[in-house]
Amino acid sequence: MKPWADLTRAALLGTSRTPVPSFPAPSASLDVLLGELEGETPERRLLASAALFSLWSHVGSHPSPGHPPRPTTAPPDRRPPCPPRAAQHLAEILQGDMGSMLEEWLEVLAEAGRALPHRWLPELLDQAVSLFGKGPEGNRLSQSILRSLDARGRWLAGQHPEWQAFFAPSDPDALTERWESGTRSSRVALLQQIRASDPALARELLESTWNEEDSKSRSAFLATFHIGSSPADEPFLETALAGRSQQVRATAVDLLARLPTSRLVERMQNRLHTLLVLERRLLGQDQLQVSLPDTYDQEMAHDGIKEKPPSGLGKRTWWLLQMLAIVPPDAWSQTWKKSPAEVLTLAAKSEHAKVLLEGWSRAATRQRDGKWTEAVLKHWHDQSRSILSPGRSLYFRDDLDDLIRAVPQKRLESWLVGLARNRRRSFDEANPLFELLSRHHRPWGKVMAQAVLKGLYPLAESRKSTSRVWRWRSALADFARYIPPDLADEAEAGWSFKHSWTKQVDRFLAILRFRREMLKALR
Amino acid sequence: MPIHWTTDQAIALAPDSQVAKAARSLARPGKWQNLGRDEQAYWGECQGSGKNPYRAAVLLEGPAFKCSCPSRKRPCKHSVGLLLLTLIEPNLLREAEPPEWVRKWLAGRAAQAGRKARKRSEPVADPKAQARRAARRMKRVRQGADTLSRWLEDLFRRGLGSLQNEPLSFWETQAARLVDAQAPGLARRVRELATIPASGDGWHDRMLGKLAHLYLLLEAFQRLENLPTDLQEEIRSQVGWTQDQDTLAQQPGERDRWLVVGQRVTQEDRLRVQRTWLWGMRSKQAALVLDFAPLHQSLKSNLTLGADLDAELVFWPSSLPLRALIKTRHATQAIEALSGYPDLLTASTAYSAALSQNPWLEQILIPVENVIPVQTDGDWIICDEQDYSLPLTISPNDGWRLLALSGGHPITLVAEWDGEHLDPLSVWTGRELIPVGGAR
Repeated sequence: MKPWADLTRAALLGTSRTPVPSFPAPSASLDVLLGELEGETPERRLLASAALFSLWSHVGSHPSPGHPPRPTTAPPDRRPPCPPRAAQHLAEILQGDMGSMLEEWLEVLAEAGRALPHRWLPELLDQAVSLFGKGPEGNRLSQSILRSLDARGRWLAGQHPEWQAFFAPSDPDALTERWESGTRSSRVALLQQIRASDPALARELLESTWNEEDSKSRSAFLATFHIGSSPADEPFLETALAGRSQQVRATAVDLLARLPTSRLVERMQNRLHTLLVLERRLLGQDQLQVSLPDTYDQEMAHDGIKEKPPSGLGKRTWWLLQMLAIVPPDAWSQTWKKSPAEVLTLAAKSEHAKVLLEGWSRAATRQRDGKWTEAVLKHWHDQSRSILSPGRSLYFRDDLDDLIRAVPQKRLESWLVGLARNRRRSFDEANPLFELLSRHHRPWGKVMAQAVLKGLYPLAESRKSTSRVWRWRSALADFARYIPPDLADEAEAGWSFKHSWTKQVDRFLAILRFRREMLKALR
Repeated sequence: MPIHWTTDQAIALAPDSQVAKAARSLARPGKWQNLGRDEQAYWGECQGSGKNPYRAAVLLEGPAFKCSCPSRKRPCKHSVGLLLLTLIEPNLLREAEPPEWVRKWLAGRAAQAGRKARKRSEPVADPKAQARRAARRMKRVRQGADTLSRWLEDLFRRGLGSLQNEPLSFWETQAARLVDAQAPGLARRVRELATIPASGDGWHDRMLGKLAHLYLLLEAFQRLENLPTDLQEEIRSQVGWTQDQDTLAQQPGERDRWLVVGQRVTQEDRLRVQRTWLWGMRSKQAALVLDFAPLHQSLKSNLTLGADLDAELVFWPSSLPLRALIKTRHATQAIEALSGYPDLLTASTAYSAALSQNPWLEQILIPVENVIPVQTDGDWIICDEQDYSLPLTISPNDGWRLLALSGGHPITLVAEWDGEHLDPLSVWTGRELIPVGGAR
């Protein structure tokens, strides 16, 4: 406004340097008041004019007419709203120190068939976007959040430039446009969503631009084919296998290996057919004859077998290992009519035992074969134990998570309970029980939880201070996420003796109690 | 104590996050013995690091806390922990006769309240001495105000451009003089000016506005006797005269259903100030309750957002009554309905009317119905059904929260309006009051 600008300029310079501006007053009443200032000193005139003018514009402040287009209205949520107590828990999870409870809270909310409280939608959508692509756990939480959105959440996401990238538009033209022009991570999100409901459509989209994509993108996009994978994907995967990028080919191999009827698996089986032979004996025990592949040829390279071995392994044993890792281990038990445990025992007695065990472990994990993974786990535990020392085994720790997850829960836990009850060995020494428990990321059964807790009380009481004991103490907060919350009172009673684990036990019990309240509020 | 206290509200009583965290871990049955309750209070004993357990008690009216632990923080972790425990596991506390130490504490408080009441009802010690003190103060303040006026005029002769280079002491010296002159309200305004030259673009606009406003106050103060009584009260209040709250509480109160619709905490110097806004359901009048606390103490707050209080409020005398205290609380429940101004023009007119009654009004409370939040180019505005709009001063996250709560449908927004910035306090969704925005 011109008069105000004039006044400000005059004030900046000072009345000693510039005269007080006079301006036509915008209203009669203001005019009269300004007129009364005539006889005053310049400073007083300037101050008074400014005061009058400022007050006049404030009193006259007015909302602006006209506005940009209003947003559409959101359709109503299909699910009933979340109970207020449960919403408070979510507030604590998002703002307090119970952040790791979010995944469970979302699951229970979904089970209860309730909608997310609207006030927390921005925080949750932000989290879903930022967690996306940050490793398997982050991805899982991100997916969990997206699945728990009801009409209001999806509507809100549609209004926001970053959030909307994570939702597939239903209109085919809009979809193609989003596919062709989005960022890599939003396109990955798009594929993931479409794969969940229409894998063929996702395949078509990817095929349409495959030739123009760089290898990093190809690898990321292809990885989404784990969702909704089926033999229908095979032709496309074979195309991907024929490409040049190592990473893309490795992903294609992984996917093809999970299709037991694929030609890749068939080709591997043919290769191994002559290398692994079971010699049956009428008297005495059967034996496994193992020969190593002689040469490395182009076809092996095409099928994703790497030529150069990692250090510590000979190249021919390396090739055998990779082949074994691709064929579903179930094929062997079928062919030889032996149980997984029997096959593993045979392998242990043969030449190249280590390679066989390693290869079958990887194959079992990839196929998530419940019987085989259980047999592998027990075999390693009983026989060699070297699965868990990184230097001595090729079986990396990441795979161990998947292996443990693949074993059916009841069987896994009854075995672990047996281990836990052998307290002296399991909790003190370098026993793999800790490694196994800390990778058991499913809600624990009551019996196993109680057995573990019973093992921990004497450990805390003993006041030992070795690192093996401390790791149990540090893991308490993690265990608290999986132990049945109904055990909270029992656990508190169990811990009521003098020990030095106060801080960790407090946190442990706080988490258990919080989870109990959380579940109560939604059930 | 409000009926619907949540654990969040209990945690909010903790003076800092350390106490809050410790209180949570103490909110377990295993930590407490000899728990009990009656209609007035809860109590219990908590084992600490000392030999004897600490005795903690919570008086529901207030609330007020007692604990025998040596911590200087009030309420301490034991007090808050006890309160949390009663909310999480109410069945643990059985009705019982309070133990000796609780009875002593409650009796002590009652005696103190009695002493205060007696003091109030006693006649003034020496009315002549009081009058002399008042006259002396008035003389000092007038002198201080005169000096300030001349200082302002001098500033305008030299020009405001020079202010960017002035050190802090330039303002501090003037503020200190005003404190000596017993005009703390004027001193506060001068101190606020100190931050403006460094506040970025347009600082000279803001500086001119504030200086002119201050000048208006000084001119009004000079003509105090010629002004209507209630405007005199407001001016005196602005300059720095305070009211004795006990005396004020004796005045007749305005009874209404007062809805607690907003809360903001700001920091001034070494004090934390909490503004709690109440909206009278019948009177459609706003009331502002102020609470102060030094930095290491928690703000006393028995007003929780979303409460509907059947209460009597006494207002500070002013040409536009706004600041108030709660004289009597009859009942509390949760808000079930909230009606405000029907549209933005009405709200804006209310602001103009308020400003004409008190030119030094800082903000008013605007509860306005039938508005929707809209985003334009990263900024948020609210629009009403008459197609008027106002810009919101809000963080992006809170803007999206408004949109999430609205879903494109009209909502009732409660905000503070100062003629330029609309600062949202809460949203009434039709079922609950959700706080929005605020200092972080």
